[in-house]
Amino acid sequence: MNSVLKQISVFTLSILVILLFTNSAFGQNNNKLSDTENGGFLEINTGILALNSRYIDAPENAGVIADLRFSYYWRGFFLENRGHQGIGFPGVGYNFYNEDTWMLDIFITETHPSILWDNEIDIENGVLNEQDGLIGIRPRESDDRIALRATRFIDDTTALRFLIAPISDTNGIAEVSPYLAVWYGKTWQYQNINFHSIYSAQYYNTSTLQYYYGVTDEDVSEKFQPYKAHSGVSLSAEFGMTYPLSADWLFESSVKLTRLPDNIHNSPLVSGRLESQAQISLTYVIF
Amino acid sequence: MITSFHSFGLIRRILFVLSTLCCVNSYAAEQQTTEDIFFKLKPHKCVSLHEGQQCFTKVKINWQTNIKSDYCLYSSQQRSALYCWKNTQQGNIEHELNTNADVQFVLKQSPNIVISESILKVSWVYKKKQKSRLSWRLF
Repeated sequence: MNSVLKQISVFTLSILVILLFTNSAFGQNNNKLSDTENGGFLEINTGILALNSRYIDAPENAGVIADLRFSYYWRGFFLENRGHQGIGFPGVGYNFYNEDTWMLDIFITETHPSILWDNEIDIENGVLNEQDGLIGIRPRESDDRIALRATRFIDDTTALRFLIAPISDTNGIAEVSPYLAVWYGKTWQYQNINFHSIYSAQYYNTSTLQYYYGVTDEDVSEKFQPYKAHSGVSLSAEFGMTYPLSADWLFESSVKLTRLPDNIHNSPLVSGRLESQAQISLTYVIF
Repeated sequence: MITSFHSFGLIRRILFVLSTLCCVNSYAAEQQTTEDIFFKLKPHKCVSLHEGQQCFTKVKINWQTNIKSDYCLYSSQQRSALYCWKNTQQGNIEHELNTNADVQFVLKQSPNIVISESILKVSWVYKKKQKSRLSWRLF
């Protein structure tokens, strides 16, 4: 329920941001390129995900994933969801600059998922017990932020993306708590198979990591000893392939390895330094 | 004068023989109705991920006619024949190709009579909007 309210509040906030930009001159740019024309795409992805979770006592498990992935543009405003491969719950935003090599968006998204906040989401994603080992600590809500997102298209197969989100309200008030992320992605083709690799670095400040991985007095138990987290950088690498089975169906597979920040890997809530996941799935592209 | 008259007659005779051969050939080609001609591509579709990308496939082409003759197979990707068969009425070939547009295959009977044709269709999963699709596939 709380999650639903939170999502509603994110959407309300999004609409406000969208309205704020409706009358701006930036909107005039968007008719020039097809990328942000009205319309979008929608696809259903389902398959099996094997996850070696970052959280303590999470069983190594495999679950069924079923995601509705979409991106929709309307006059520069957009709504998108990458499912479990995305960085968070559906992002909403406004594209205010779109030239040949750069796209700039105001973007609202989840920069860190919730912990023990709403198990239904985990069930939906098929990762049934990932956080069961954390039961006993206070729940942490997801970190939803307004961000500036910049995408630089280096060539037809290579892109860089930056996200800067300086404000967080996870502690109940808006506070400066920088989150910075960069992704470098490249695709290449061999026969009709499209491969991709993505490397990313995400910086979280002390306040954020303490919120999610710290153990405070109210969390302390025999299992969870006091712990104070500090700022750090998470690194990840993903390698995947996509094969078109027909004009509507895709076969996809990927593996992803994430190295957690040095200052949280020995948190009582964390099982180790590395998190890994692998998935195989089928995608039906509706439009 | 007499010599030139003779030359004219020779040319006429050659022309007659050529036109007769041509008619015989046309007649032979006309004898092959569409029911008699088997010309099949497999697969007849090639799908790539993004519009504009090269699509790779190996096409098996089988053909059969009811007249023994010389035949050549052409594709819209090149001017010269992909393969020619001598004095036969059937053939098959495997042809590897990559393309970002439909490819037409034409079977011709020698010298240049179109017997049958078929098209390898190229389609894509993601149409246009390359930039969005690129970032979509990546992030």
